[in-house]
Order: sequence, then C-alpha cells, then structure tokens
Amino acid sequence: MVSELRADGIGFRYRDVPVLRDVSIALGRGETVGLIGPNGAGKTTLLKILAGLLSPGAGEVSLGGAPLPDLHENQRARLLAYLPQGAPAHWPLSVERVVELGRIPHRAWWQPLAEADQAAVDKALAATDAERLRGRIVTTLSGGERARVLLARVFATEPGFILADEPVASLDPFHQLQVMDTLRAHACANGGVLVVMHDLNLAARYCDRLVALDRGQLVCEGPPREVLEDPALAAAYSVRIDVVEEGDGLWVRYR
Amino acid sequence: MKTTAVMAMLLLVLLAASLLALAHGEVWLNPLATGEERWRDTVLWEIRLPRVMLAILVGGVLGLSGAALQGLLRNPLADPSIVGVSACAALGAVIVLYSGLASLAWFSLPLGGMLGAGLSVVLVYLLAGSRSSVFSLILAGMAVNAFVGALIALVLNVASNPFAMSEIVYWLLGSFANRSLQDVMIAGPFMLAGSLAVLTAGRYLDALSLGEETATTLGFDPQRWRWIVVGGVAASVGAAVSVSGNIGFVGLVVPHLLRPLVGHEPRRLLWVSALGGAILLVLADMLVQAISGRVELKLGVITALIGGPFFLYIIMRTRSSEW
Repeated sequence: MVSELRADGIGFRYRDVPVLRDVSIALGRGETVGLIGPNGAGKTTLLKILAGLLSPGAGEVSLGGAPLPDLHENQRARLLAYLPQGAPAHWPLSVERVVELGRIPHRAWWQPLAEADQAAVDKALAATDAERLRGRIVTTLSGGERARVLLARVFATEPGFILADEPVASLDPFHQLQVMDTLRAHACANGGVLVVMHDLNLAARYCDRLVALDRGQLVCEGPPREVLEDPALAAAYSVRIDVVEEGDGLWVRYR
Repeated sequence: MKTTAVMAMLLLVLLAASLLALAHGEVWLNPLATGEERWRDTVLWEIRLPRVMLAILVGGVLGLSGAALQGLLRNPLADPSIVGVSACAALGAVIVLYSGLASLAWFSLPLGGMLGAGLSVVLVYLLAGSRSSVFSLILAGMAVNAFVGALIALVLNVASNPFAMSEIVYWLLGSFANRSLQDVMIAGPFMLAGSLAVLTAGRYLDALSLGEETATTLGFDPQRWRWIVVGGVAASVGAAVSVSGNIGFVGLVVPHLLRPLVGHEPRRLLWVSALGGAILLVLADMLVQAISGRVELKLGVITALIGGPFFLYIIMRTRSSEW
C-alpha cells in the first residue's frame, strides 16, 4: 500500500513571480492535515503541484517513494483525488452520472459500471448526504448542494489520498460539519486528507496537523494548538489569535 | 431512452433513407431488384451510390466532429468551423484548384484539403500554445478562421479568369453532385481513421464536463487527449471538405437535436451524432435534388439556409435556459 504523499523542496514561479519557495510537506495515511494561510500564500498552487496538475520548478513530489510523473496516469488517479475550488459542471447531467465519473480510473473504457462501481457511488452519495439529490440535474443545484455532489465524485473514486481545496467554502454550518466529518472519516479509514481551509475553528477541530503558508513559504507546522499559538501565524494573518480550550475542543478567536 | 435503442432506431432510419436516396432521381429505380439493362446499373451504382456513400460519410464525420468539439470545448455552439478546420481545408482545396494542380493528379484536391486541415491544427496550436486552455483554443480558431477567410478572398481576387473564379466559388458552396467512387476511396479512409480516433475519446469528454483539472486528476493526459480529438477532427473533416466543399452547421445542429433523446453526456452523443449527421445529409441531398430546377441547388447553401436561423435559435435558447 502506498503509504505517503510527499513534496520536497518545492519551488514554483508564475512567470517571474515566485509563488512557492522551498516548501516541503508530507501527508501520511490516517491523518487529516489542514493547509492554512492568508490569501495569496500559495496554498492552491501547492495543492495543484501535489495533485500533479502543475510541475514544480524545483523539488519533487513523490507518492509512496515513486516520483509522481513516473506513475501511470490511471494509477495516480486511483490513489490521488483532487477537489478543485469551485469546480465547474459544464453540462446538465444528473447527479448520479456526475458521481459515476469518479469511477473512470477503475474501469477500462469498454467496461460498463460493475456492481462494485455502483456500490462505491451509493456509498459516496450517502457519505455526502447527497442521496436525495441523485436524480437532480447538477446545473440546477444550489452552490452548496453542488459542492457536496462534487465531493461525492471524489469519494466515489475511493482514493488513498484526497486533496481538497476549500471544500466547505460555500456550505451552510450543518453541511460544513458534515463534510469535515466525512473527510475525517476517510482519514480514519486509513486514507490521507489534505484540506485547504480558511476557517481556523474548523481547522482546529478537525485536523490532526496544520501546515501554515505565507507568501510562498512554510511558516510553521505541527499540532493545531501549537501552530495556532505560534506568533508567526498571527503575523502571517496580520491579526491577533487567541486559542481557548473549552468543552470538547479548541476555539479560535481573532481580532 | 437507452442509447442503444436510439442507435438501433437511427441505423434503421439511415438504411431506409439510403435506399430511398438510391431509388430517387430523374427516374425511380429499385435498388433491391436486379435489372437487366446496363444503364440502370450504371446509374444506380456509379452515379447514385457514390453520392449516397459520400453523404453518409461526410454527414457522419460532421455530426461526430460537432459532438466531439462541443464536448471538448464544453460549448453547445461549437462546430468544426470553430477551430478553423473547415476553412483551412477549403483553402487547401482552393489553392489546388486555382494553381491548376487539380488537373495534375486525381488525388491532389483531397490531398490539398487534408493538408489544409492539418495546417489548421498546427496553426491553432502555435497560436494557443501546447498547454492551452480551451478558451485560448477558441480564440486561436477564430484568428485562424479570419485569416484563412482573407486568404480565400485573396485567391478569388487574383483568380486568373472568371471561369476559374466561378469554379472555385461553386466548389466552396458544397455539394455531392458528380462525385465518383474514386472520391469515396480517396477520402473515405481518412474520414474513417479520424472518426475512430475521435470515438476513443468519449470518456475523456465525459470527464471534461467537470473541468480540465478534474479530468486530468481522473487520469487523462490533457495534451494527449486534446491532440487525439483535434487531430481526429482535422483528418476526418479535412478529408470530408476536400470531396464535398463546405457544408456547414451539420455539426452544430445534429447534437442539439439528439440531446433530448440521449441526454447531455458527451460520450453518448458521439455515435448517435455520427448516425444523425449521416441521415441528415442523405435526406438533405435528396431534398436538394428534388427541389432543384434547371440549376442544381448546392447542398451547402441549403444547410446554411436552414442552419443559420437554427444557430440563432440555439443562441437565444442558450441565453435563457439551463446552460
């Protein structure tokens, strides 16, 4: 089993603007890692590099020890799923068809949807609370409903590692918690989850580890409390951050 | 409706339409009966059959290319003419006609069309860059179209005599009249090979409905698959244009008509659009012959007359509804 997704010494430039400088990050099985940092810190770029969508100018991404570009595309697609931020749905397809697209890496083009594929689709729809949307047309859904359907597509692939770019951005509070629960459940089932987040409270509650970026560089990383209390993080966000332990977890206040 | 049921239905319609097209003409002939007179065989198998075969092949190619490009560009208004393939193929053929190369060898006209289409792909990629987004591909196609249109106008402008000019114009209008089995044999293989390449891309086009990034992370190398689709379209449409001239709007209209039957999944639309395009052109070519008086109407003129308003209709619907 592929045990780890890691990036070492990643550097990246858009034209002449350096976006990432010497960033190293690792994502193991069974952990939920939150990628945080102010706007423009390079979080999305790092996620795309990890997903193999961009090739880094410096450094290397490897999956289970093998360099990402060396893996067969299909193999990579089965191990590594990526949920872009605000992903489009271009045709008025039914929700079920959209989620079925997640099974593409598992079957050759001549194979119809097998029982295992159908089971994975059902499970993914259930996990994201999207079962009752099954017959709806994806382009007619609300932003939050669509976000859940696209997440269901990611789960349908049954990947080892999930890279999610702000998956809760457009969701109501109930579904924010529900989506984070689902991602966490994936990690608990021995998967790895790397999630870009802006809500530090959710990050504190759901992540095993936080990685903070600022202006393309790693600021700090470690257990949530440690990272959130690090003065470097407050400096990166240009706010004051107070962490309080109350009831069942950490609460973050910033001003 | 199930896609297979729709395909079976379309196949039957195509068969019926083809038989009808063989039978229909100045004199009605029964293509299924064996006749004694030689003229009858000549008319059926050497005059009408190539025409019907070309209608099937070209219609199939145009319908399929339209569906594939709409999937690739994720735009229900896409058509082979959008990426500049049709115009470049036409330019290639016009140059062959104008320069007199056409009389040099029987295969020079189709070859010119295919070279033109191939050139359009290279041009579009040079303009848009090899890692281009779909948007820049559309813009590059527009630029190529505009420039090639100017080149065709230039060729017409400097045409040596009115006769050459009228020949070129007539040819640009698009028609299946006076084509032989030889035309089918030269262009057919390229149309089939290009179409097969396009047909393998169905799943990629499905994955593309969630955007290029998602398609890539689902295991498709975007550069390779874009080449397969655009290259397949270039080969098949280039060959088609070189034997038939410009027949527009088929690739636009056919997928649109079939979506209510098979849904919006790009992969499901490929095969049915090929069949639908074939049916449309067989019937349209028959209509052209039926309503023509002394001067035969050109098929490309009829498809444009019907397709133009249809194009506007789709734009108006697109703006008001689901897309």
